[in-house]
Amino acid sequence: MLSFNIENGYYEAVVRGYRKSLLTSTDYGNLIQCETLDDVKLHLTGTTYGQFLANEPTPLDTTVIAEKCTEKLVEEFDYIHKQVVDPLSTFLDYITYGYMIDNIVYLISGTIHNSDLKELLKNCHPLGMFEEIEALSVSTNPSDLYDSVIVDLPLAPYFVDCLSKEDLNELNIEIILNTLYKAYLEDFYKYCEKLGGTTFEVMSDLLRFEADRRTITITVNSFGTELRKDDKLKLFPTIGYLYPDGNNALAKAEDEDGVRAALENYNQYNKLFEETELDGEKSLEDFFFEMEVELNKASFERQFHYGVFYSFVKLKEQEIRNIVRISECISLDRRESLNQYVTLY
Amino acid sequence: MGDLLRSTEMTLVQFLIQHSAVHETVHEIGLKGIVDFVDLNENLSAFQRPFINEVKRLDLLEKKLNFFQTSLNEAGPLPKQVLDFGNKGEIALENREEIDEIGKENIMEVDLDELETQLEETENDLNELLNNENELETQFIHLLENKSVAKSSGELFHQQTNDFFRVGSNMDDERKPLIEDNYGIGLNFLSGSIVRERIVILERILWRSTRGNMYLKWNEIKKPIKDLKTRKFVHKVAFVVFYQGEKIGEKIQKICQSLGSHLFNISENETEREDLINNLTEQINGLKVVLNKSRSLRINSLDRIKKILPYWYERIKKEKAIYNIMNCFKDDMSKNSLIAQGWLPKDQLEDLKISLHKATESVGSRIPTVTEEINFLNQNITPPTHFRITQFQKGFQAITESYAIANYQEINPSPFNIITFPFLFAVMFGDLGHGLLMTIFSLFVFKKIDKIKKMARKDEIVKLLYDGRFIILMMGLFSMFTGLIYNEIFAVPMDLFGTCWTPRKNSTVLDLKSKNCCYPFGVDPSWADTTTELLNSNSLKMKLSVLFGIIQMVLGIILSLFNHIHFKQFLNIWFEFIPEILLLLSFFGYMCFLIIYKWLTNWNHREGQTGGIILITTLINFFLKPGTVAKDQQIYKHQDKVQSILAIIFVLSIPLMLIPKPFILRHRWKKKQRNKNGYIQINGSDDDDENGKSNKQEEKFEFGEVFIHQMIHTIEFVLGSISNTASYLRLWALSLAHSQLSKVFWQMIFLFTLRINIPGTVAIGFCIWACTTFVVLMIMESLSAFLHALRLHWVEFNNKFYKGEYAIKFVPFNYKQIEAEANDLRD
Repeated sequence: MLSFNIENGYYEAVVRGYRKSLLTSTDYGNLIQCETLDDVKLHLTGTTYGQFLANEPTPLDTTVIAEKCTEKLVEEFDYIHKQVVDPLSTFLDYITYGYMIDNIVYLISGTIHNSDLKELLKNCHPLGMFEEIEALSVSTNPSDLYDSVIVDLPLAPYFVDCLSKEDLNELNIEIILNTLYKAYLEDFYKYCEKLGGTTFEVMSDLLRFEADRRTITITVNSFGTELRKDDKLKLFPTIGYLYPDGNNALAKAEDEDGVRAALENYNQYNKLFEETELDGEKSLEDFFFEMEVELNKASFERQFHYGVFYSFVKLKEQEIRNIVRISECISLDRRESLNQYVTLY
Repeated sequence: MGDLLRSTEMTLVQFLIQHSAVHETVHEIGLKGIVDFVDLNENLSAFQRPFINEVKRLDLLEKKLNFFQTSLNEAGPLPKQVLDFGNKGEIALENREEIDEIGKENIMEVDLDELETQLEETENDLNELLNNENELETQFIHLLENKSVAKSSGELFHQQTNDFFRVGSNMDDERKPLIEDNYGIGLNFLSGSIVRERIVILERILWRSTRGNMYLKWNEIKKPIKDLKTRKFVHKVAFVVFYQGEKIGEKIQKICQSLGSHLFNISENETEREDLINNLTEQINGLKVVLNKSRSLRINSLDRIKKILPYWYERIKKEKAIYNIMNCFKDDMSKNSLIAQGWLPKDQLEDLKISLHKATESVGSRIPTVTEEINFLNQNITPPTHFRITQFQKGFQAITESYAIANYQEINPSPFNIITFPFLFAVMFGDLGHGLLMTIFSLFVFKKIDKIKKMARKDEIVKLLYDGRFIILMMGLFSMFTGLIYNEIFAVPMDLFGTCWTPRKNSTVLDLKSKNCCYPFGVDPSWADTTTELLNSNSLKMKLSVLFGIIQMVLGIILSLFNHIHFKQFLNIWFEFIPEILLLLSFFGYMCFLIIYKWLTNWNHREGQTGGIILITTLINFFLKPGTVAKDQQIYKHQDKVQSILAIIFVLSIPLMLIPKPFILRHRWKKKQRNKNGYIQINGSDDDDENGKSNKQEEKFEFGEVFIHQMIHTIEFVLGSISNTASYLRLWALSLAHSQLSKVFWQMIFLFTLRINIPGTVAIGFCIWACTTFVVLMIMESLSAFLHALRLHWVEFNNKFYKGEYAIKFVPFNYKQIEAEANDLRD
């Protein structure tokens, strides 16, 4: 801890500065009053997004707003990423792996649906880009994929488990995604454990939550599919608070009641489910987002650890989701759902 | 000085402007630049303001202008004479004349709608040209790439066959070719080009996905090829992939395309390839002509835009400024006029009325704009501070304002700074030679003023120079004066009037020439070479700096008296000004008196004096043994009585400063309170609520807080009078450092090389001396002297009277900034 600031003090300060620039509840209050997307832009010009949006032609589109906001996130992340040294740089690399997985899976599934490669690439998250990404579209089965492209990526070890799959269909892609994610989370967790100290304390909370979220989401999404219990269990990350009992119980669950029963013993989650029931407007996802925001905000309360970098990216991502959601509501004129954003600060 | 001493009297005016005349009115006022508008819509966010749509529209227009600017920047410097075909050049000339005709006036006057269409047309034209050119360029680049690939694949084929041939003949060679068995049979190939950095990735992926069943050769294309998206030149390579079988071919093609390479159909046959290359060359040449033509068209059109762009900019910016001001206006109840409020100097009210009249007349509005002065005295509003200053005063005003902006109508220290600042600087920087250099430098700045003004807009350091040019001139002149007093030019004394001392024979002792001889101006040059020189100059400079300090501080306190009188704070005169001045004069003033008295006394004539008088002991005993003076230390008659009276005054002035004011304030407050209570009782409860609310802030009177404030002020002043006086000793310290440093440089570097007596060393010595003088004395020393002079003014002088707490600067709405920017563009 004593020597933390020698190498990382500046970057921690920078990222905390970035955090200060996140939109506050007053900003959101102003945003939801906007009549058109131009007003949204006008308001965002007054924030740190200003110069990113300033030169866009006025008939603005939601995708443009999303794109520009992401661009800002990427610029901020890259600014730090390019300067730091190990182990922080590896830590930041790990953050990008998640986006890489998303991109890979997105591209593969896009390719089976014969979508335009350029369109697909445009929609990929810029944090998860790598040079060989375009070549992904050529391969037709997992082992081919592995041989031609993925073997060079840092993700390669995660992919080994997927090699047994014969071909690429919807279900298999979903399985690949979750297998990759599981492996990624576990690896990230292990890395944080190796770093130890406050970083591990903070990150273990965040990663365990992430793992549990995936477990629960997989369970809910798998209702009515042909996945068997063992298959599901293989997809569940083994680092969460739910592991191992909760995981086992969830794997058995076949409907919502089953899930609720499985989660009964876990304070933080059983409340979630009850609330979803009561409040029809908010989905399970939204509650997870809210929890995530709370956890990430908490990580800024501690000092001398890498968790702030992870949390900042997650918070900013949530902010972008908020902005996009609000802009969508405005452009589709669905004022009643304008309030469905997660306030950060 | 009148205007500079106190800020101009301001008045708050409310306008009632007809809707139709608003724009013109604001424009007229902007031309005059005399009104600082108040934002009446502070609680509205940007997009709720009345004229936001106009601002948005202007934003769009500005974006168009930005687009022109970026295309201008991309085009780089435009060629003066467009090298062209036929009569293009003439057209360009015609265009130029046309712009002169259109002229500045026209753009400034033309209707905004018309301007919008004008801009739109220009934008469309330019876009069309750009698109055309882009299309042509894409074709052109494609052809170029094709040609280069064809050329280098020829070379690659050649190598390839050689390789096969060689390998084929040496079957034992360990380097067995990958496709050895089947070479020549069913061997297919693809050729294309790819960015140089990506060839490695391509090769790796191809190798992996074909499991090594391919052979890739590549060759760098010599000329970098323009990437149309980023408009940058990139290096590309041409490659040929050999493979076998249709299926793999498809896959390879897919991979190549997905990685962003361009594939070209190139024949294996050499003659066919030759034909292709020739064909392509022809096409390229043809396209080149067309491309050049369209390029020159674009440059012509850009040339026209370049001429007219600054005027557009000026117009649009002005419009935007006007609408931004109009966004601060409020709607009247009746909805056909707008309410605006603004500050302006009281004596310019007539000017304003003339402009308003002009504006209403020009739009043909029957109803004139109504103005009304608002009485702001009883409302809790601070008027803005406005000084009318000349170029000369600007720098000094800036020094004051970076400390604090003066409160409304408060005495401004900058008129005094005009003399005291350069003078205190010169006391520290006193040397005729250095002062002369500084003066010459500032005169040089004045000579090149136009150039420097232009540079100042871009470079902050040059801007400092530009803004401070008068300060530097004054500092140089004053340094020359003090240099004459110190009698030093580059640390060498000058014997201008004939020294009063002659050396005694065979001795270093000097004798006075005649009894009453006195060097008429400054220090006698003979002092310079004596061993007691330092003692003498130290004593002189130390005493002088204390004298200057006390004089400046007394001036500060007297200025506070004028402030008290102006703001009618008579309590402060009795219990702040009077004790303060008594405290300072009774001790430090007395010290100055002693210093001067001692200087004026001819001690050689005094009888019964055994040793010298030591002022320090006298002053210490002033407090330690009040009322007694040692016999041999007596300077004048009745010294003991005078000193004891002064000591009593000194001590008494402290409680006078501390105690009465808070008590009197409390008494007044209580009296007021009593009166008010009586008033309310008589009047019933009608105004009770209102009065209660508005007076709540005044009503609070915390005696403890007031007393503590007064205590802090008192302690600060008493301690400050000592520490500030001591602070002025920096004048002595820096002056000493300066003269000693320049002496060292002169004697140890220049005179030293003279003594060595080797030809050439003098030149070197001079160079080193000149450099050190310039760097250490002219730059570093002058900066440090400036800094200390600044501190003496900000801290020691300003804290005696200058508040500058809640002031707002007067920022009138005008076009100066916009016009300056437009002028920059024009150059």
